[in-house]
Amino acid sequence: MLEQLLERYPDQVKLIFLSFPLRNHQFSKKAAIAAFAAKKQGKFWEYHDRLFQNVDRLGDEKFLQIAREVGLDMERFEKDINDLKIVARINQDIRLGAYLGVRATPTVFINGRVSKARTLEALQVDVEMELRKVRKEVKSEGKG
Amino acid sequence: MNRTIKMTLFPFILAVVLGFLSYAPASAQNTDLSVSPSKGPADAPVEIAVFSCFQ
Repeated sequence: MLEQLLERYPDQVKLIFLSFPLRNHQFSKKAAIAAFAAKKQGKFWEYHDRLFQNVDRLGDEKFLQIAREVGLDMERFEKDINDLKIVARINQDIRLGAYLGVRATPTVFINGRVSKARTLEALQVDVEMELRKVRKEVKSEGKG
Repeated sequence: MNRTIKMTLFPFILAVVLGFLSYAPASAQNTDLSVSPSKGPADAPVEIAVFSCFQ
């Protein structure tokens, strides 16, 4: 859905991923760590997409399998999944989410405000509203 | 004796709790989103941040 939104607004929308692994999901934090390890090799989104395609089969072996499938340097990947900086980065996202009142996923913020939109059309309405605000601000700055 | 221990511990516990409460928001606000995985133009007027869980 968010992909479609990016396609509709290629110059106006930026999508930012933040980790919020839920505690009752056994492999969610490990999956986030693996995805961030893939990011170090420039393959975050490929890894991210594969994880979501395999949500019912996640586990240590699957993380390695996906890494091989997306063409990661395995030696580096296996080293990076133990990198404490990655864990610290994910914990920072979790703290931010908790501070902002995130309790479930996905939780979407559009220009800093939580969005209740659950369909592409509803998200589009929120994006259009933000774009109108930006245009208005630009216009008023131009006048001043 | 018990009363003395309680009176000594109370300020300590209060300091720890207050310290944590002030640290957590400050730490959260310092999150640098520019290093988070992203797609789309860096200067896009609309930023959509999504908190996700892979499972």
